[in-house]
Amino acid sequence: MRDVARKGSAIMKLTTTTQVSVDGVMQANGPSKEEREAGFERDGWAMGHFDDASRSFVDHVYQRADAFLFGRRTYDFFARYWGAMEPGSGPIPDALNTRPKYVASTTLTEPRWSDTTVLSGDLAAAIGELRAKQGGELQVHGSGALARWLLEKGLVDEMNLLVVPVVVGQGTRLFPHSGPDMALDLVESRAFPKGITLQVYRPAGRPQYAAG
Amino acid sequence: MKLTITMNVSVDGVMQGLGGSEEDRRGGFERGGWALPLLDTEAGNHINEVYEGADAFLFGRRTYEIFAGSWGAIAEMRVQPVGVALNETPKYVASTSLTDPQWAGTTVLTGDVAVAIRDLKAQQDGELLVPGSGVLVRWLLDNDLVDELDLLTYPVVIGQGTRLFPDSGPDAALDLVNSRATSAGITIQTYRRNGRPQYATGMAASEGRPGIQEMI
Repeated sequence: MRDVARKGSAIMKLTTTTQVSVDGVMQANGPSKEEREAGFERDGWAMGHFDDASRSFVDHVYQRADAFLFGRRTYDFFARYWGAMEPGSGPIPDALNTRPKYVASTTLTEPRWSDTTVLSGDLAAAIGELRAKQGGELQVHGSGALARWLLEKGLVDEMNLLVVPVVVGQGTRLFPHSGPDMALDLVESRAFPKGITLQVYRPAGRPQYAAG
Repeated sequence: MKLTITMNVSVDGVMQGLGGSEEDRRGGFERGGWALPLLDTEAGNHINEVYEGADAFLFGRRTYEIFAGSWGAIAEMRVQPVGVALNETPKYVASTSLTDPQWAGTTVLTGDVAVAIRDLKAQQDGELLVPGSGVLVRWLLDNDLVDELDLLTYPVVIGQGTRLFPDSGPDAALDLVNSRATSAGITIQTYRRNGRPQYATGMAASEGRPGIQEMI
């Protein structure tokens, strides 16, 4: 089915996948020496909450990707970690290591991870061209600054929010305090055994407000 | 008594001004009235059940006054399930300024509110429900007095306004007790406090794993 979709004239769908806490924090879901050195004290808040079902959901998301788009920081982490894995290491590294990767960066010039294209200059135009070339799905994982920018520019077609049952109480959130408003359609909602919930939303224009 | 907070929030965690454009314009808030157009029968029924299950209510001063002037005072609102529950159940309000509450069945908690609430929780059974009351709820979370959180998340990003959880506050582990979605796309999650979170920090040092989104 994916091959059929690829050959059509469809625009590539842009989806973001983000792990957030109940208080909306996305920073340092995994353990991070770097984030700790930068003053964040509660890194690694998500990992203990994953179970087979939620891991399998994330595996499937990666497996259905046709290309990946990253912010520079997440790209660097992913290249170091997933990029170093041998073929057959698992669904996530196998997907990442075999599909085209794009990274939004004004500083990166020589990406070391194979099949990477750096998008510099007019990012919105570059993403527009990329999406017009083929159908399928362009996935953004993590990449907080990029995800916020894409939301602000109205470039996100679908958002996977994995809500981890924890209040972190500090750190950067997915949604800024001051930003555009948007209505969302809830496409899917489910709960995993250890308490992570998945919400899939599609942006649906401006919200309606009640008077009075 | 178990202390439960019931809260309506947007996907970006905003709780301010859900009912109407003029309800709460504090801080220059311009996007009030975001919840009402999305409220469907299923979410309405859930709210009725939550209110009907309360054995007592606890309010902050501001929410108390809004509720007293509407659920307590308007005849057609008094006979609705939420109105009946509110009018027939004991009410407590945390306030240093309120002295003569007009709503029947109200007790003002003054002085050491933490002690007053702990006494209330220790002396009675059942559920002490806190509807809305943003300032009080943040204080209750800070003081570790919340047992359960009933969270209705509306499918909308507001992009401004006060959020339920402050940028800087205590951390908490939660157990997910219940989760469902309504036809209008409201998700309803019930969480129970479960102590402090466990962090995977130690693992980073030993295994040299990067801390990244999707590292699972």
